[in-house]
Amino acid sequence: MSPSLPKPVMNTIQPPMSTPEAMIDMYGIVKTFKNAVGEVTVLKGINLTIYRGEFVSLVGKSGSGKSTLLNMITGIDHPTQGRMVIGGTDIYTDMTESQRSRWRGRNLGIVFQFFQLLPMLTLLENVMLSMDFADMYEFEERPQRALEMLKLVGLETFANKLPALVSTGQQQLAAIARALACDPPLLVADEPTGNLDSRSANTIIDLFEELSRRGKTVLMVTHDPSLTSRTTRNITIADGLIVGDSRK
Amino acid sequence: MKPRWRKVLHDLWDNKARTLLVVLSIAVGVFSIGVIAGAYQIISNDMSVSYSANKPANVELRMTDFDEDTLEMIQNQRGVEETEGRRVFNIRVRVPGTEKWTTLDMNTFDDFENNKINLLNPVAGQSIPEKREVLLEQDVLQHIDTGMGELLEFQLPDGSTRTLPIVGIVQDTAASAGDFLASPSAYITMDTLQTLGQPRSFNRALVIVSERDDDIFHIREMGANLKDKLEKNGSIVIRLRFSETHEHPLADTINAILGILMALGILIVFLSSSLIANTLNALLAQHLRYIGVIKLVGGQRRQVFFMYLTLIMAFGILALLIAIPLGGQGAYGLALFLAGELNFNLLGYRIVPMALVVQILVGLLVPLVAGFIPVINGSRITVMRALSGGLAEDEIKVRSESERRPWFDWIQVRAARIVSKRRIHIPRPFVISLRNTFRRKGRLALTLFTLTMGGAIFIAVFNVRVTLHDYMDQIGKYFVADVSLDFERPYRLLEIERKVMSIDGIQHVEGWQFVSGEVLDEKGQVLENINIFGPPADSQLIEPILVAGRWIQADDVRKLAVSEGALQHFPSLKPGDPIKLKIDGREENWEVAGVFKFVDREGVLAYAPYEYISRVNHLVNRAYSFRLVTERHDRPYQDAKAEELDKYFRDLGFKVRIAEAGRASLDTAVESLDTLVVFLLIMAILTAIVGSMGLTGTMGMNVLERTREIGIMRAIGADDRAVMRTVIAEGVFIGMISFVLAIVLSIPFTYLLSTIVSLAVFQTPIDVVFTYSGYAIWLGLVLALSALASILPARNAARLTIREVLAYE
Repeated sequence: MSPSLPKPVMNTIQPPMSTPEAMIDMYGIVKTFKNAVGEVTVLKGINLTIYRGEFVSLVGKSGSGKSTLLNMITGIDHPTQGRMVIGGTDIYTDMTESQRSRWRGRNLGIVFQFFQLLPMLTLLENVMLSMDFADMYEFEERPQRALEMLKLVGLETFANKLPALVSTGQQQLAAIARALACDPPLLVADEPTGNLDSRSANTIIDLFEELSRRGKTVLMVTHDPSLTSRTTRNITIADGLIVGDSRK
Repeated sequence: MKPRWRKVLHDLWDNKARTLLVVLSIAVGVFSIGVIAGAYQIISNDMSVSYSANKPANVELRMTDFDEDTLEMIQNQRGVEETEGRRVFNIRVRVPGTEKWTTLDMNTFDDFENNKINLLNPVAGQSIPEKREVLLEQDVLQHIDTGMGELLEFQLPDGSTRTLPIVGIVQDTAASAGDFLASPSAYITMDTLQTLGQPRSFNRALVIVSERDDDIFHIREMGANLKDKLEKNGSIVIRLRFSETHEHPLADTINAILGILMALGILIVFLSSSLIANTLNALLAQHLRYIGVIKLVGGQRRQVFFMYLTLIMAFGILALLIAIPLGGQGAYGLALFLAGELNFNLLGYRIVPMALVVQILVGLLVPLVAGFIPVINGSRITVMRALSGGLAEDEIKVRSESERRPWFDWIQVRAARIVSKRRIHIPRPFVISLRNTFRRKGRLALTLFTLTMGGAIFIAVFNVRVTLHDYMDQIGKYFVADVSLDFERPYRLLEIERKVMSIDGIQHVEGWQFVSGEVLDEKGQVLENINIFGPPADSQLIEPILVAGRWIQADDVRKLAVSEGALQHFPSLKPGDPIKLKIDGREENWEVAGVFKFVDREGVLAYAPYEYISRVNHLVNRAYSFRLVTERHDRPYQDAKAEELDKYFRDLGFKVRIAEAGRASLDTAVESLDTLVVFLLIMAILTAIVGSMGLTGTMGMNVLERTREIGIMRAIGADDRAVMRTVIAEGVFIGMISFVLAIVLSIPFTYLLSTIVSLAVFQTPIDVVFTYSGYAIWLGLVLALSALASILPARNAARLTIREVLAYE
């Protein structure tokens, strides 16, 4: 990464007065994929800052580059060019894939569209697992904390059930509990309600609002316009560029 | 080329790691069966060809000294094709300037150039020594650190020494054939005898019969007739040995061992077929989506079936390309090793047609059989299920079971809660490993089968080794003496006892006698040699393992305790039964007092009291042979005392034939048994390798199938080490389960192997002994193998990026 990368110019939105500290800083993020027919640039130099405590929705059509951008934020994939600074850490400089996993476990909660709970573990164990990997909290303290997380999402009575034995909405709530287990400042959700009925979807968004109010930064990728109305900031991406950025 | 066949080619080429795994799974089984079948064929053929090519003597008459006239008399007997006289005597030898003496069987040839019996094969240097030169059998070089052109120092009966140069190394295929206890051999001409203090006369006659040289009964009959005639002429025949021309004396033993190896080879084929079935199942699971697409665009079940059958055939052919040449080399290598151990020659490297056919059949048929069910299932899958990656029906199943948990999951969750309530918290990554182990129960069963069989055989081989050694230790109770001291002529018991007891460290001495004869059937036909030892009835130096009846008593007259070997000729023989013997040319009726266990390879062994045998030999209160007990019983001390006694008596002018440690013969026999155990161990290791390959395959497939889960773990913070630990722990856990199962299975395996081996080697079943060492070594090995088998899949797992997980979705 060159130190002379361009400063963010697209993001003209000023930080809210109550949350002046940046959670995510992107500098000229470019992502190019190579395939049999040649090179395709999916992200074309994204500059963006997201501040602490914001509840942000990232919208765009299929193929617009929003999932690729999310992969860059979560450290799942490398940008071809540019810097990604999250919570003050430049995650693609001097960090191996393995170190990034460890960093992610401690600093980032991810909620997937398909929940991605480990099927062989109970909901409680799934929540405890992220604490085990991140080595956060005392070993003896982890079950209690995991139960508290499940209580937070209303699943304490299902704690000892395997994922296959609860509803999809409950699985997604358990996935959120897991994402919160290590108390990360940033929660990233990839279409978290895409597979849920409207009642379950509402519950999830209520929860995200509550977390945002408590100071967590929540970044959510969605297709659903009804959900964007409930976020504090709405970023639109098209053809690998940010084409809209509005805050309420 | 039609697109579907191009797809088959792509399937082979695109996923090289998977192709390699399947091909190696097949190849290992084909290789094993090729090695064993090839070695079996080569050894069974070459052993007899090599043995007969050297013109083995059919009858060997061990006699007191005789001359050319006696030899001529033997040559003139009807039915005698060829005869040769030899002088064979024990002589101690060492490298000049060193301390360690080794006893050799010195063979004296009358005429090396016209040698027609027990031919020598030149190995290095000359094959015909001049006067005061010596040839060594190649086996000697394993006992003495010397070589061509070096000097050897020989100790004469009077204690003086002579030095002779080694002018050649030869191979004598008849030298130790069938006799585990034989000393290594050396060869000189008659002209050298005087130099070594020996009389210029023969003491051994070798005879080749003119007809029916593969009829052991005819050969025995000939031997008995010769003995009769010789004894009538005043010669004394001490012992007879018989051998068929085209049958190596150890052929039965070797065939039995090769039979075991063959059984193990077939087992390995079974094990590798379970490996193939596992791999093909996983392959078909990965291909479900493609099968769905093929069917969606009009592909028929039959077409899918033949596509995948062709793919399997291609795997088989690739495996054959690897396994056939390697198997051929392996077979020859194994045969060469065995030939070296048993001192015979091979006819040269060759492809064994039978082994080739077996390999091709195994290489093509086993994968087809193993893959048949997965392919049938795969080709029958519905488009809907195939396109949903096999999930469609699973979801219906889950819904219909709604609140009911699968019982095994319920047990696992319940167990975790119980443990957790006791405040024992198992780390979740380890819980994942434990529960992952049981997710694919069919695959787990096949993997465990492979690994458990490998382990059980491995452990059983160690138990068999200890069983054989334990039996040899029991046999050692017939050789309790620490030193055997044999003289060239008889001495008075009291004289020897008085002298021996004056030496430090000697606690006890006994004089023993010996008489040989033949066992006869009711019609008076010779059945077998019998060697009757005559220890004092109250001997402290024998602890017989009695099978029936009693041991010998001082007042026994024509009563003996006989080894189990006699049961081969008289299966219903029991104490009190008469047994007809020919002793000193006279037919006598003896009575069986008892039956005991023993390894008798050269005729039947029996014991009768010294008190009676000394009268038969007309040597009352005298003996040729003395057995001594020393204050310590370790081999070095025995060797030292034997050395001291040898020198002491030679210095006093006694005609010492040999003084050697009591354990010497036994140690040689144990070494021979160890060679056998090495073969079994090679097979055990091969099965263990197949087992660990099975585990590697299973872990590889598990990782492939759990790509998504590994991605999730990565997404929530698992670093490389955490992912690797989870995979390796699962592999090690499977290894541990297989270890527990192998402990159980090793018990019947031990009994089975011990019985087969003991029947082959000792002609009698022996008591099985178990040892911790096999279990301990296998535990260490299975843990190491499981860890190693999981490392590659674990590394692959750790390398997965979450992007791949998303791609998977």
